Amino acid sequence: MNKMRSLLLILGLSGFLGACTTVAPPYAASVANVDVTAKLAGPIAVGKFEFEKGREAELNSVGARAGVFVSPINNSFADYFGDAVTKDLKAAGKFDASSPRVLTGVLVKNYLTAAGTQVNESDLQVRFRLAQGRNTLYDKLIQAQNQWESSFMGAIAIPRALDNYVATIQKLINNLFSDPDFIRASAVK
Amino acid sequence: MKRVSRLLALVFVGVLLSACVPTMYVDQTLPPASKADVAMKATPQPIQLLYEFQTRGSANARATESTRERVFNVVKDSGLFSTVSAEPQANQHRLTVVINNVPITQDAVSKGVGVGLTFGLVGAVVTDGYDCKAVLTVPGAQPVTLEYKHAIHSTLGNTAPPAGLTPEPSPRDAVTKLLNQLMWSIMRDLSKSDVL
Repeated sequence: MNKMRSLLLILGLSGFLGACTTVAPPYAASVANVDVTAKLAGPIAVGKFEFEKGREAELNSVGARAGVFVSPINNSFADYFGDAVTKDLKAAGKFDASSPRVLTGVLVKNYLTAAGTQVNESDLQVRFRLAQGRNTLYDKLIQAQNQWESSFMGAIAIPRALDNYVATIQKLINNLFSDPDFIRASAVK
Repeated sequence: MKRVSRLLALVFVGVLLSACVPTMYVDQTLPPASKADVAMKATPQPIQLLYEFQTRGSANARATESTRERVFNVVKDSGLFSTVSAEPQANQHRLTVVINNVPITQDAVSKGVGVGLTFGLVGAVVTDGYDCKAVLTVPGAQPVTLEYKHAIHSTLGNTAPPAGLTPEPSPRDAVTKLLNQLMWSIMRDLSKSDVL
């Protein structure tokens, strides 16, 4: 009987822990973003993406209910955003690591919730900067919000939150690359 | 007496678990397609393939990741293209494939909960739709747009299977069959296009 209890305890704990931490899936280039990105003038290099100074831990904390999501890129969601931007640029043929135009980003809002039983939401904000040497061509806060139908069941609500978090990142990048100011900045000779 | 109790407990758990595992059936409305239906081209060209799986119109990165290999393999096996890559190609030929999972049965979660609460005595059939859109872009030509609709029916608990359909051995098999049918349909119809 004791063995049975121990087994149940181990099973319960492993189930609980398993539900706690999930590594976010690798970002996949978005078809919609590639269509937008392909219209940019020239190749762009991607520099450092970082968290707003002093808020690193807070901004790298992403989760939904009991679930904690971690970035597969250096355990940092700032790096995940940088990787996402790079992948969309590459898929559109607009990435060149040696380009003098370098895109960087500072993550200032990284909000995700799955607390609601009906609707959940995410809100992301990144200050993007495009620079060529010492010249700043573009410096703007870009944001993206997302809402989706959720469930009272965690087994549905948590993975759905993760899927929609990544979809919000796609939306954020779409907002950047379709911004007329960014399109103009990327065309500056 | 203890043995009988354990046996009853096992049967109870078995019934409970069987109520939770859906049996899946791939819809037969989409005409079957295979490599034999693909018309070969004299000089296959390289292609950039971009693929995305969506749920209710929103990108689903986990599903994209788990189904990408099957999608790429069909395009490679078709023989329609000399190279298949996610990277842009020098000839700027690009094929985008988006599969969007849309609910056809409303309140699927409630139905599943109902099945669970009755330990499978009351069953349910849930249908998931898959809207597939493929766009071939070749410089200097009008884009070729192809659209298909497909579905997977899942039975939970004690309910009759959909008429005329064969159960798939596992959910993975059902998804693989659906992807194969959609992708081979795309390859068949692209091979008829003058753009390639």
